Amino acid sequence: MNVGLPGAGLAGLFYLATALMMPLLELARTLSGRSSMARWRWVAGQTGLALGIVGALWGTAWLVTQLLPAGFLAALRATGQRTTDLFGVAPTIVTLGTLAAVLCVTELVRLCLMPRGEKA
Amino acid sequence: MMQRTLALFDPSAPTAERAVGRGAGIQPAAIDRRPVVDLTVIIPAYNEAESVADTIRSLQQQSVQLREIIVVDDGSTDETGAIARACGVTVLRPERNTGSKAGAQNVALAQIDTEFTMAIDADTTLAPNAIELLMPALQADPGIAAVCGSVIPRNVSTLWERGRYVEYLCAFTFYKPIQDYYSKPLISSGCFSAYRTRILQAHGGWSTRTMAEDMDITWSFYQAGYGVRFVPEAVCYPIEPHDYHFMSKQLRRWSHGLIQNIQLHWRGVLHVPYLRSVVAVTLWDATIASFAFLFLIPLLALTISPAFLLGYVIDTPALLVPVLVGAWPRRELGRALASIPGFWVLRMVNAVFFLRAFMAEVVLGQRLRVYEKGH
Repeated sequence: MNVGLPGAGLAGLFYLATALMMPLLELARTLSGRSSMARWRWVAGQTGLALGIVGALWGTAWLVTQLLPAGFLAALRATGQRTTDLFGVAPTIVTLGTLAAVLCVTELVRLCLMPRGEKA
Repeated sequence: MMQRTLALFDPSAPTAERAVGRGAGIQPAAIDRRPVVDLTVIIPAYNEAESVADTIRSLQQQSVQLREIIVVDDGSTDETGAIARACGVTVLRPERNTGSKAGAQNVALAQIDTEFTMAIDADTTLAPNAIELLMPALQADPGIAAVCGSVIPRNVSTLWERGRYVEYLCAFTFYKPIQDYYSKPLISSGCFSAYRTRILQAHGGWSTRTMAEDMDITWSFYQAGYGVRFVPEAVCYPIEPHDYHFMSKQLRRWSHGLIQNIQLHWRGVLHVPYLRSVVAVTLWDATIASFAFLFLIPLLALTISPAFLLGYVIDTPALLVPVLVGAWPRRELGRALASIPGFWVLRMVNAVFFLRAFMAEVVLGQRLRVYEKGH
């Protein structure tokens, strides 16, 4: 069984973020003597994959901005949006912000439902 | 009263012993020198006459010997039981159909006394070394309750099979290995997983309370403090739904299964690090993202510019990275590229099923209770 909408959505971004965090976590494991070369090779492979995905996202954004029809860009300008922002910093921040919000809400719910003794 | 039959050796059946004998250039009766794993394999089967023999043979021809293979013929009206018996395995037949895959698997689980139990679908075959590669992760750590492997569709020709092929390549190359790094694979896939028998039996086997028994047991293990591992090198090949009729049954079951498991386990899952985050973003994608996919993009396309329709395919280059990396060692780059349109369609249909399941289970309170086989 497989669930979710691969590629699109928050889950894709979540996996990307957690993949990019793996070298830092592995470094911590190394410092505490719980890592190995085999683990590092595997982490390097998955991190490379994640960086490849980031590169593909960036390349697509650049290409689409170059190829978008003039009418589409004009319509966007009419709504007050700068066309350079279409795939730029603002959408990235909004998407990452949404991911952070979902994860924060999850943590808040967990803390609210945690038995009193465990909080202390 | 359950019927239990153990077939006598059938010389026409290509058993593991015969396969080894041929390969080594010695007599078929020669001693099987493959290492033995204390493992019983359960194959739940309902009208699987066309595929069950392939499944059994792929188990018999593994690079390790298994203690027993049990086919649970769950009230089939075709020749499933007879074919399984002819292959030389144990066949159990409950008095009446149990109503679900979980129910059929539990029939056999009650009789298992090996250290490990495996469940495999009757339409799934394994790579010859799949079990040998899978088991060390389970054997090495008594705290691990289950292990699962990679899934690649056996047939990739129709639109739906192609869509599923891309989905699996992405999931098993990128998502699932990351989940495993954080020690929390989301699901120990029902079509090919091995379990520590004692722990599985202590949990009451596979529950029939949701439409996704594999997700249910995986999340139950985590909440009980046990681990689950994913071994990407161990590969199985299921027959995926080839047309919309079968695909819709499977998607309906999976989407309702996800919502039902979240409803059932959400309090417990909140206390499992990483899993709670995965479930949260998965739920977001199943609902909010699906809504945006089906309604927001068309609305923007209609009111601002048709160029917004690019939203349906704009992530394809990013998706292609793990898909092509997964296809490369299999020498299937062309097949992967040609399958992308199938993925676009499947993703859209997936979104419809998720929203419908959410509406039915959460908003309308209409719980899906009937298990319909979709392959």
